[in-house]
Amino acid sequence: MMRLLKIEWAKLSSYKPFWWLSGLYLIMAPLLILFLDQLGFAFFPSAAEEIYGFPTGWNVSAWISSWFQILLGMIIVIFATNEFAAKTARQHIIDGLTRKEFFGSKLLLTGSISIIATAYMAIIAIIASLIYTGGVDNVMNGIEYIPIFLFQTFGYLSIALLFSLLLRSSGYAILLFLCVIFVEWLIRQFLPSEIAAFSPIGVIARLTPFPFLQELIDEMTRNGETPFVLDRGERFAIGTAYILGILFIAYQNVMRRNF
Amino acid sequence: MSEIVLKVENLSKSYGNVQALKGLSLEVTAGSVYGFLGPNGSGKTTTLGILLGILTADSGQFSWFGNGQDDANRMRLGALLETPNFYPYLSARQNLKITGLIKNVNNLEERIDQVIKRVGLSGRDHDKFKTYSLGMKQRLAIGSALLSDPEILVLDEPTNGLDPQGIADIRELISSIAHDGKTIIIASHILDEIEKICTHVAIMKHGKLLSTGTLGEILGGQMSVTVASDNLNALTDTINSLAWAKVSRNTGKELIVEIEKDKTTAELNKALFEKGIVLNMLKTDQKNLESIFLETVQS
Repeated sequence: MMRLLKIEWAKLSSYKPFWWLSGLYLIMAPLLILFLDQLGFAFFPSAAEEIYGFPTGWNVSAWISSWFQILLGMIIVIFATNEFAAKTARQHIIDGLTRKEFFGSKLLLTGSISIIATAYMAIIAIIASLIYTGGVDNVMNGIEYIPIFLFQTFGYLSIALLFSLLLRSSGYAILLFLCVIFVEWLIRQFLPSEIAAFSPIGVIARLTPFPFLQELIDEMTRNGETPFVLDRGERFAIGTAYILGILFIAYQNVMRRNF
Repeated sequence: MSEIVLKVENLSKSYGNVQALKGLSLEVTAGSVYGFLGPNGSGKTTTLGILLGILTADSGQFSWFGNGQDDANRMRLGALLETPNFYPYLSARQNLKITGLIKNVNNLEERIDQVIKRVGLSGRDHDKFKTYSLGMKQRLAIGSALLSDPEILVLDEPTNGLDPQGIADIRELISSIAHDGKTIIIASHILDEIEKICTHVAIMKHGKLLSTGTLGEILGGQMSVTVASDNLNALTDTINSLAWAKVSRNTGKELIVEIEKDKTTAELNKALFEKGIVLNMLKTDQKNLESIFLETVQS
């Protein structure tokens, strides 16, 4: 495992797009989170303590960070498809890497990026709380957002990995990745919420829901349109099934196709 | 009999309707330099692709080192297939480091130094791969194949696209590697090159093996006889009237003649003289690989 990680790092550490996209993520996510209270979003409380204090602080940090997971997805797509464009994936197999190891190395990378992004999300939540509430009261409350965010990031990046391995071209894979995210979102707007709630990206996206969801639902209920919402356990179970399915297809593709 | 390091049995592979390989079987023994010949599309690269794990065969099997198709076998090979494949944004050194990590090479930095020196890339080893000329890329690919000091080297068209100096450099490099006693499997169009360095030759066409053997067996001491006289038409008719000789080609100035193995050129000359023909030229040549290759694939 260390050998595969070392190999991936040897390729990534000098890869400029990786640093650009990571840098963008590392700057944009905290900027938006820390200045969120100034933006006056609907349903957001006016007091900064109520936004950044725990447990809401975890939800806010995870929710905003999840918007930028798309940048991490791009890293996976550009990096993984580059292996096919430069035919280095082919050369690795020739040199003795097994197909299983090739898939494993990409999976390890996906996992590593998810772990780092999650740690970063948690650090931002703590810093925001320190800045706006002067402490970390109730920090253990809502801490489950750490594993949830990890799971969600891994889910998104698995989709990016699947498209990269299937299409092997960065242009098409990015296009498909963006299309699926936006088109699915668009389709969801026209579907009854009982069906839309089960869509793959929707399930994974709503693992870190809008932080003031209850207020939103209350408002909609008052307007006579109670939305259908899966509870967290259901989202987690369905999300797991989707991710396992995605990884299974990606694995079979690597094992069977010509390189 | 030396050890068989590669055994291929009945290998077949199709791409859609095109059957690229039709039941190929061959054996390579340790220490030999095995030349793989064949026109474009004859199945050489497909064969090597299957043997190197990037293509899957439809049927048939192969075995490296008597260990079957185990992935671990490839750790004992060094291979260059079609094009040099490296990360364009990394230097030669960084690229070799990745190969070394994949192949679990010990004392990697030291090995990288040795290999860079051997393929003549010293001084350019810190430059990015994308700044290299084709010849340098090809040399780096050979260096990468040598990095783990493999038991067998597989080279597919190692001189493709190179200028005459580049071809000469690569040939010299391959000769010196063969000299170290390594087994080399090499596919090439440059027959002259194969003839200079190979001990064994296999000729392929349309996914089939047409002939195989040691270089000596393939060349087989076959003679090519060239004759000329004042009247080429009369000469042609007279030669073809002999039961044991046949004109294979008329160049307009001279005739290339095939004679049966137990006959000599002296007998040919005598027979023609007896029929009233005086030759003004009679020449014999050992057939070279190129003419045997062309005869084999055109027949």
